[in-house]
Amino acid sequence: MAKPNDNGFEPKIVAFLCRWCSYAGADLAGVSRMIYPDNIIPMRVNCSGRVDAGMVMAAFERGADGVLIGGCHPGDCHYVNGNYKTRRRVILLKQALAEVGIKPQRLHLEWISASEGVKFQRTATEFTRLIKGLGPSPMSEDGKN
Amino acid sequence: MSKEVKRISIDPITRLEGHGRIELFLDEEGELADAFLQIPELRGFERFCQGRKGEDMPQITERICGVCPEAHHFASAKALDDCFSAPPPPRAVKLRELLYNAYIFSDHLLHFYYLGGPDYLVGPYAPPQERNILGVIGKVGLELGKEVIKHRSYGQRIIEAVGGRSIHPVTGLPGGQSKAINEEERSEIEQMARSCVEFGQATLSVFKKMYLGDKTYQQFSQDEAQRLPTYYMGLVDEDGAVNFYDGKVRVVAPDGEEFALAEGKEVLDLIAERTEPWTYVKIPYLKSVGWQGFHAGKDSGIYRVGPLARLNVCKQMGSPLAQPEYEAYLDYFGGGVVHATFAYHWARVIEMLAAAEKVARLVVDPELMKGELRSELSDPGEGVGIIEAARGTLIHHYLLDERGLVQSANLIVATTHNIAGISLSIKEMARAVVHNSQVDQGILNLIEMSFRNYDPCLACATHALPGQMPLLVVVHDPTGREIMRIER
Amino acid sequence: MEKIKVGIYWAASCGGCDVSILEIDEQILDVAAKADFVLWPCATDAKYSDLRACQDGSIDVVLFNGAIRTQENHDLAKLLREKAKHLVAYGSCAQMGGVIGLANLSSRKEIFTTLFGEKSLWPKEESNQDGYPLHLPAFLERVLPLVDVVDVDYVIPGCPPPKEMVSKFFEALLEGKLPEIGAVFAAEKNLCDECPRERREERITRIVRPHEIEPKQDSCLLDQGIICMGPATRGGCGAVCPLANMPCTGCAGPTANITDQGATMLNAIASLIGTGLEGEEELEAEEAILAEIDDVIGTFYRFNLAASIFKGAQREQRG
Repeated sequence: MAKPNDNGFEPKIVAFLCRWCSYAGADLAGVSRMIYPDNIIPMRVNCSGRVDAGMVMAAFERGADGVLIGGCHPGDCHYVNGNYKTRRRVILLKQALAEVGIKPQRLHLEWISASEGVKFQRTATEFTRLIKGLGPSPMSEDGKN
Repeated sequence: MSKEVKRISIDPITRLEGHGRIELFLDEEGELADAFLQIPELRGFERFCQGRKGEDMPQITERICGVCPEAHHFASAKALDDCFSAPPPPRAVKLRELLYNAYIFSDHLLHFYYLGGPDYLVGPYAPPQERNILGVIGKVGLELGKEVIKHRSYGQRIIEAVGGRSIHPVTGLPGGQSKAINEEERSEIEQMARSCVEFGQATLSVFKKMYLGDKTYQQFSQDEAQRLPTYYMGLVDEDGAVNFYDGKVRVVAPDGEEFALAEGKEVLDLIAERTEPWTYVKIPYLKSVGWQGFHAGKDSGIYRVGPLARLNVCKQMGSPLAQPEYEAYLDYFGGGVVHATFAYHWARVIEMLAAAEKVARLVVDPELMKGELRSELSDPGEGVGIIEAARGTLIHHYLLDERGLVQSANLIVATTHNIAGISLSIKEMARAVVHNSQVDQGILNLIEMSFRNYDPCLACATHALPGQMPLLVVVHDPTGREIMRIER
Repeated sequence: MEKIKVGIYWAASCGGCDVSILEIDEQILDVAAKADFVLWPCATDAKYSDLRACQDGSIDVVLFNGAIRTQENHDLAKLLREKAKHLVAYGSCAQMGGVIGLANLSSRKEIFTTLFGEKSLWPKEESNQDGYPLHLPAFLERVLPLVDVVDVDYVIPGCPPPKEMVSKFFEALLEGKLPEIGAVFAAEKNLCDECPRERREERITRIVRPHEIEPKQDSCLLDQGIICMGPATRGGCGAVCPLANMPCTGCAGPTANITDQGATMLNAIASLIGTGLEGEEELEAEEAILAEIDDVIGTFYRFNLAASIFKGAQREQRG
């Protein structure tokens, strides 16, 4: 079993990023040579609202130690209110995760605009540190023991 | 080290609800050495009820048993009434009683014709392929067969009208019912109820002809070895009458003396339980009398529930047509407490008639059709609901938190109370019929007939008390010597 | 003409599915005229030894109800797959684990501790009572749907399946007109399609529990704030629960294009919530509504936890 803060444990973090805001923000971080952990596996979606409960669960089921969702700030969603739906889903999902014994902190929603490369870097770095501290997800290979 | 024994398994036992296996061990002379009823099933409801919403419990716990879901549904609803301090208004109570008595009628009918009945209606030594409802219909004829099917469906339709569904009803809520019935439904139920009363009487005639007139039944209903002088438990109302839906729990001793009259949590204090490593079911007994092993008597805490027990703890049937039947039944067995296990079948058909009569009385009660359906609820807390399932006393005990979620659930389920009695009956029958290692399917069926008296529901039985109840475990070494006793 | 051989078996079951077969009333006589029930422990006397003795593939159809909870259930599922020509997952438990799948929120150890207390008091697979060896089947770590153990040919969903579907199945069987393998005996559309209640609201503005209100008769329960699984659940049952003023709890399982019934309904509830407010007020109001939802798993996964993406509880390694 990999111990938390063990140099051996490198979490896998799936990041669902909306193309209009947060994915663009991640891109900006990239071209600006901002360093962020390569534990992040970015998945571009048209809207954070596209990320349904099943996708988040599937990510955990396939071994993600953490799931990050990046969306537009409230009021800025390209599709008007997709991000509001995401937010409500995440609230319910966190409750479901807690009830099945997965720490709800492993799921995180952040509003990141296209110009917020720094915010993306900070979010990615802090979330990776948090997940490292939590240890492997119980559904990942390491976590199952 | 195992003894040199021959083992015969009856696997699975059939024509009952649930999974069971009887293991018979014969000695060198081919006589019975020992017999065990093992229940190899377990689902763990008390565990996964924790954390559920209180108002979901009637629909969750009824999945303990699809033959008697109504019993769990309304024991649960009654427990919730208590948790929320919300006794339902009269209209809701009468709706529940209407459904509930129709359920008792239907469930007893199912046992008489489909489950236990084939042994007498077709015959205990009949080929196994014929010992079932189709064989019964073949024997009694298509006309009576269709009446059987029709009246079971009447019972189911009454349950459906009041409960929303005929299997796993949905209308029980804390403080009342989610819906009423309309005049068209009421009128239909009135007609069906009249027919059910007549069918109840017809069934008693079938019983008298086919059971009392059957040599095997005569033998075993008089046989001393098939008499178990146990304690008995059941609900009675304030007139001492049998009441399936509500009342106080009355326990009588083998000599008929009242041992206890209790309600609510006091009932739970009467009962303790023990485990055995070779079965998933736990075995309750009367705590203050104590466990003296598998034998029946005043000094043994073994007690029984169900039709035989209810007719022992009551002072009257509470129904005009069932009452003289009850008196004739008591007479046949010599008056006083009836200990003959095979009397269960007779008690059951008397109850079937009484239940039909109750439906017929309730369906014309004007309070059924007007008034509130739900009471005001207070804050949630602890509650107990006690009801008579067809097979015996059923207790649901919940502790809800301030959001109405289940912190813990205790369930004492009818057939569980009877496990010791059933085990004893099986052993006595096996001892009586197994000789010289001779067993054929007819002899093995006789052993099964000894448990069919009780109309067991083994899916229900594997849900005895967890947690707070006192527990006694006795561990034996292979020679039978007691090596450890654990009590908590 | 040789009779069709029918087997009906219960695994970890409540018996309701067996009783549901009797709900076809007199049609059972038509079935009995053309078919033999070669296995049906609830109602007939065939034993496991009879089952083991019959030829592979000789039972035309086996209706298998109940979930896989013990090793015995597991072994019988395999045995029946061999002996049956067609194997049907009958009822919610066989199809997706059923209500007892909620046990997957606990480990076997936790279940046994709640039920029996400390370990020395637990029933054992092998025990020796007065010199007589006795065996109990193992209690598996998780509840499984039938399809996780063997291939399944047909599904008849419901808890229990409604009599119209049971009747339809037997009709097809007796006429030799069983549909193609993989067919599900329920409606293709969701329950909302046949529910007579009228959907009026665009959004849900509150969440309430069934005992907290007296719902209006003709109006959609979701509109009124009661969580009803109808949108994610197959119809074909006549919407009997909403007709009884109680919400659908999802017993007939998901429609064909849904992978995880609970996740789909969770999405739907999240999408439907709307307050008409703006800005911070809107976010606060939404949070307050969502805080009224207790027991997410018991609500959205009541019947299908064992078949869901998560299948049950997971165990974090550190507290």
